[in-house]
Amino acid sequence: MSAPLLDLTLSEAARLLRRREISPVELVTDAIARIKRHDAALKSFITVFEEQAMQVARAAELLSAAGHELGPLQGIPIALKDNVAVRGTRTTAGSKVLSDWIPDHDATVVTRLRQAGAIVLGKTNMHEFAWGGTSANPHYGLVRNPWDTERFPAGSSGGSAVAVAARFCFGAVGTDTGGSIRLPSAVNGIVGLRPTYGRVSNHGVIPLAWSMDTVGPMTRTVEDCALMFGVMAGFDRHDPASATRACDDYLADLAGGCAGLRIGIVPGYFFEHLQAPVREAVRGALDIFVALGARLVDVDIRNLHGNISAQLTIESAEPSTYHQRNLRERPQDYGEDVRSLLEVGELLLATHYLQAQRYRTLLRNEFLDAFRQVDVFICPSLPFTATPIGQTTVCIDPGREEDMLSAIMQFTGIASLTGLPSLNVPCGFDPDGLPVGMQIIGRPFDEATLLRVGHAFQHATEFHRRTPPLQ
Amino acid sequence: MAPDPVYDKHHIALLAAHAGLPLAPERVAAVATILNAWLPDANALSVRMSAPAWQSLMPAVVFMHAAEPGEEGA
Repeated sequence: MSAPLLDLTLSEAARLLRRREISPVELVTDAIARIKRHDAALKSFITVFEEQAMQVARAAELLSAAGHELGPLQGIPIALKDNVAVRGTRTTAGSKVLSDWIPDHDATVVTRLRQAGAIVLGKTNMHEFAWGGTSANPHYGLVRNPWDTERFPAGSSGGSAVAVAARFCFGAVGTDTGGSIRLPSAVNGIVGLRPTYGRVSNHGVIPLAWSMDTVGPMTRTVEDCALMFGVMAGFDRHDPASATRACDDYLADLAGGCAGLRIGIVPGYFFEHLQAPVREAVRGALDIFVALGARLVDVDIRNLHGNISAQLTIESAEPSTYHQRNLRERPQDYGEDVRSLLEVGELLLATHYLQAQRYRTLLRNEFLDAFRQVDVFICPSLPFTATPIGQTTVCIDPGREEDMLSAIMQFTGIASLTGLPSLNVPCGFDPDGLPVGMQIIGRPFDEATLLRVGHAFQHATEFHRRTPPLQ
Repeated sequence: MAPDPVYDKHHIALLAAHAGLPLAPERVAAVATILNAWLPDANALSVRMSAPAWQSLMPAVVFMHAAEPGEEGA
């Protein structure tokens, strides 16, 4: 092989592994070496399973040599966000509170990925307990963006996004409550899928907000995402919110293109209140879709405004309920920002929470109604590109600083509140070379369309092929 | 409609005490900043959702997809 193995996409590596042109041991060896070389600066991993991953790789190599096929991810090194339980290994959720917690079971997604042959390289850093969007972790280090290490990687799945963007692994598992897969995917220039609520099991994942939590894949290409998602998705009797509906074959329809596709745009919201380079990149992406045969349709979602407040209320009340005991018994073990948010969540009224949950029903109904006119919606994933590390405010409109947490949820809340699936796809770069991402939002359980549309875009563009300039 | 109240530190401390979460003064200050930023919008949303047009809407709940007995997963 002339090109570095870690520059292969997940799908390319899987094909070469099946033909035994490369070996799992080579992939794991290269990945571990790259993590050792670069991750001291990026802090994307909390735990690396060096010996364990090598053992599994050697076993996979023997099985492959003997003609056994484990599954579509056989021999592929992946990473898991550290709020996903792995039996017998530390699972911290990025917290001091769980710094010595050793689960006695695997999360269902871990079982599925291992059954498909994936090799778990390690557990990735994250915003503490997934309650925040910066991945500035006070206990395990500030995760840094590989495109510019002075910039934030967003979050909460910041470590997973950085590990994929930096080519430490071929794919990673993230979790998304208010945007925690899509936001870091956007600012690190990778693909990330928030599935329909209930499509991927949450069993064994430390909750943030039960009514909005999802688990999804983060990869460099849409094809890789489809491959990994096909393994992760499906009914799980251990998760009471798991959907019984059968899964599609997400790879089968990938090449269907987007001729005749109807793309919904919400005037007065999708392209208002965002930085100019983000607007230009997403508008440019829409032009490409039109050139590919899609049609843009203006759609009025009358009650879209108000979604940020609903998110903040729900995303405060539910975590504060989960953390109620620890917040009283060991408050000093939480980081300052998460502690404040958990305390705030204790003081909101029950009526605030339930009105926010009723608002979700209203917003979902409006989107479901709109899907009679359109096949997908496309909007930015967040209104700005990566901000300097440590900032708690952001400037979107010149001369006005606003709170980062509220601003970062401006577009991701649509899918979080409605339970709809949403795919982040890289669609450009700002003048500083920082990635811009767009969201493709679809009907419930129609991830196949999102993946088909995203794949068509990547087939026509090169944004996903750029590599961050690691020193 | 009356303007939204600004919760001073005394209010916050009292509210937290009622929730069984006694807060030290520096915690009260941190919470007050966030709460005062969020509550006006939360109150506005509550007013909007109380409109007669939305009276029949039920809150979204966790169990959106009922698991059927006998179905096995991973």
